Amino acid sequence: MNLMRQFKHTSYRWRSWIQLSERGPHVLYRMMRSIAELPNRTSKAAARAYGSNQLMSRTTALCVLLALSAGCAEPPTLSSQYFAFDNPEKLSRWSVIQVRDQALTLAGDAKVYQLASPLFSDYAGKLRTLSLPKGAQVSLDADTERFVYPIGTIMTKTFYYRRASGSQRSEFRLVKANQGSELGLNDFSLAEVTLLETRVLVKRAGGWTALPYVWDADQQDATLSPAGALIRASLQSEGESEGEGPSEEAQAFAYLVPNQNQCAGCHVLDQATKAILPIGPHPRHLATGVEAGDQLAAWAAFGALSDGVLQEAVGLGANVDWRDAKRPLYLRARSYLDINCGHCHSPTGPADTSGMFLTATSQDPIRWGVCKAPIAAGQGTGGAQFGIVPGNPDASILSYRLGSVDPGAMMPELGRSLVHSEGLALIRSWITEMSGQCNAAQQPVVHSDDHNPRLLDQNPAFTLASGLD
Amino acid sequence: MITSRNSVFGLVILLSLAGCADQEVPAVLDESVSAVEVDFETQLQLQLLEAKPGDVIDIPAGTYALYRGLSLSVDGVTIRGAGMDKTILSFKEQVSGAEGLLVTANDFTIEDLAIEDAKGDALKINESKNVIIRRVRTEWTNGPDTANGAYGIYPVQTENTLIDEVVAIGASDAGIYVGQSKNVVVRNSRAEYNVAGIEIENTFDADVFDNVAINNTGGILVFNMPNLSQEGARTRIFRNLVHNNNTDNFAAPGGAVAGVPAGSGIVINSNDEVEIFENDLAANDTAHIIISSVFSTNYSSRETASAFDPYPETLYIHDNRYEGGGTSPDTLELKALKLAMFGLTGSFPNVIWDGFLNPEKAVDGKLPPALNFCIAGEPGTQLLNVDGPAGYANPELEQSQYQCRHEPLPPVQLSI
Repeated sequence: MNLMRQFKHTSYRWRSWIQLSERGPHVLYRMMRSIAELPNRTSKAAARAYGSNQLMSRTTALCVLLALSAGCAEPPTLSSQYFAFDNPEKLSRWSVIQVRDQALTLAGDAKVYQLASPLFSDYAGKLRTLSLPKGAQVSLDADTERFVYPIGTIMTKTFYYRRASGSQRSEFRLVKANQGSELGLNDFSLAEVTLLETRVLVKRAGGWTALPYVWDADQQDATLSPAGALIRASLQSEGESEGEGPSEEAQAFAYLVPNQNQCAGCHVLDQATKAILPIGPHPRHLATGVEAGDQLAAWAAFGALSDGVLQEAVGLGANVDWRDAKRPLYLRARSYLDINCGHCHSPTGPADTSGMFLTATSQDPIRWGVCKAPIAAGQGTGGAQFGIVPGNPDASILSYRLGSVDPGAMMPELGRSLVHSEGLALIRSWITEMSGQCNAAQQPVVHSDDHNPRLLDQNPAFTLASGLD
Repeated sequence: MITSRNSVFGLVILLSLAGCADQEVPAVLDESVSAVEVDFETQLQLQLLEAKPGDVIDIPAGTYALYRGLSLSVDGVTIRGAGMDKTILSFKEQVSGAEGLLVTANDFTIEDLAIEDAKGDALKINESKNVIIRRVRTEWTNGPDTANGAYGIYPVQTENTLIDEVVAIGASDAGIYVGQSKNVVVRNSRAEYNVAGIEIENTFDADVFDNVAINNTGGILVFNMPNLSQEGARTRIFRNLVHNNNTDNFAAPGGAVAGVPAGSGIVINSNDEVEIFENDLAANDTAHIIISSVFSTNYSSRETASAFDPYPETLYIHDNRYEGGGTSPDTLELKALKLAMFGLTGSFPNVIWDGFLNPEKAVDGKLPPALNFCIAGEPGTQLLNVDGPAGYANPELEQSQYQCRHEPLPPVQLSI
């Protein structure tokens, strides 16, 4: 009983477990007693004295002890909890990611993964997890080149920022995440990090469901928020003055937690089926390079991929990390466009209305927008005539829309309310290096750096109106 | 099979977790403040998310300010207001979303409300079947402005769409814009102070009738754009009132409509089988009817998909009534042409054409009968070919070669 008392003193949770167990079935009560007596029964001699039945009980009890000592006195090793029908009100019920003892804790079966090139989301840091049903594996659809996940798969993506030092969570004074350096799990000091939302993607018998959870003000849990949320915040760069009050450099912005339809707006990759699919965790995004330790190999190592699927997936090719300046510019640009735009701008996606396809496998330059007239861009043209004018990012609609924060003109339409300066710079460089020219009768309209179109006095597009030049 | 030992083990773990959670729950309940604002916008969006087929979502009279774009993806839903001047969804303060309302669902009806001042498109309906939009007003309340959203009522890639008794005002592209669709009726509606009043683009089988298009840059447009999944054909434009479409073009340059001259009544660009009849066209200062090819735009680049047919063919213009118009064309160049050909007080004829025709199909430099532009039942109508292919060297005023008739197009049958 010494051990028992010790636990009682050190852990409130342990006591609750006792109380609960005592109310439980008789067998549990007996096991409780076994555990309580364990210190006297761990010798080999004592073990030998046990019959097979008792041995089984002891094994069970040891497991329980292990689970509890890991689980309550310290953060427990949890397992992700799959809900086949219910959409739990609280994120913690999935057990994938939760706050325990002021620390962000993952289920033991939740694997953190990263993408070669992540989607830009207003400089938020992201923590991505994958939980597969025990023993289940991921297969590959050779036609779509996407992974097919087993029913019961749970993916989460948690969006966070480091707080400006000295600021309260309620102020939402946030600091840009360093590009490419996402926090390790041990770095999540909830006193310094603001968790905004966790998006859950769960694969059920009827397909994937997307569930947005918004973190509560006390950051102990997150609440299901099908209608999304709008969080008014400010953002500053690392190292900027983080003193009292908002710094001068801080940019005000509205952080958008997408509603469930908006989840589908990006995650429906095929308008014909309207089925929701994961965007990132597919071979070409996960294969993060041979040198740096391949993500796919890691997945194979923990049993998610068979050797055959691993070989096949690796053979599909890999997107480069767009931040990796050692890689060719066009590959970085295409990789950036693929993850940020390709989910809509594909032959099956919602933006096929534009005739622009920005997936990594799209090979026809006109589908990237090269010398292509806009269809329904409206004020999103910024005054430019073509998606891309080789050599001239200032005359290209693509760079204009990436640089806009006007909801009526910006691209992507959702998921950011700030300009991704580094991504924009990449695309501008790519366009600058592009050779060739568009067969326009007149000089393309130039949009200026502050993203306001500089309108020509006369409309350039219609030669009928100016054909007598 | 789970052994009894394992089930016991599982139960213990489960209970132990319940035990752990047990003492945490009160703390959460005490301190938790939901980050979600429960306001009109959230309520309405929740209704849209939780709707079931057959549901009617009623929005009572009132003016509601929204910050985020709304969206619906459930089939069979009706959204109903208390009237287009009573239930007003105002997006003046919108901070996110490229539309006021985005619908990606079939069997959708929206009626009796207004969507004002959306930052992007007001009402976009993407890839839906069986859509009814009636007595809906989309408006940018500050009047024509390049910064206004592009489209008011914007079904794209739809099948079976009825637009009835709507009002569209102030769009910086098109007030009513039907794109890449099949089977469309636009009727009894009013479009004013848009760049394009009503635009049918890359669409098969559209009937546009009994509408009023007034004070736009161009009244009614039928376009085909390259590089899309379908090229449209077969549009009937009849019994519309198309007048005073003389508002300066305020579209952002670059888009197709940015090149539409102010003063355009009806514009056919690269589309085929268009029947224009029994309309009243008045005081459209460039011309009542303009026929053009995508070659007349700057989009005639070598990169255009080779399969695209840029030539407008088989147009049938008959029994329209014209009043005034053509007296003060947009742009100095057209003014000069008008002055040179028709004098200071003269005017362009009812129809002008850029003169591009398919050399592979031309017979003796003219359109063969099946592809010809036919003008009938309006003896006063002349057609000015501005001779675009030859650099506008020899504009010609013609009449006799277009005196012909085509078979009338059949009415559009909506299966709604």
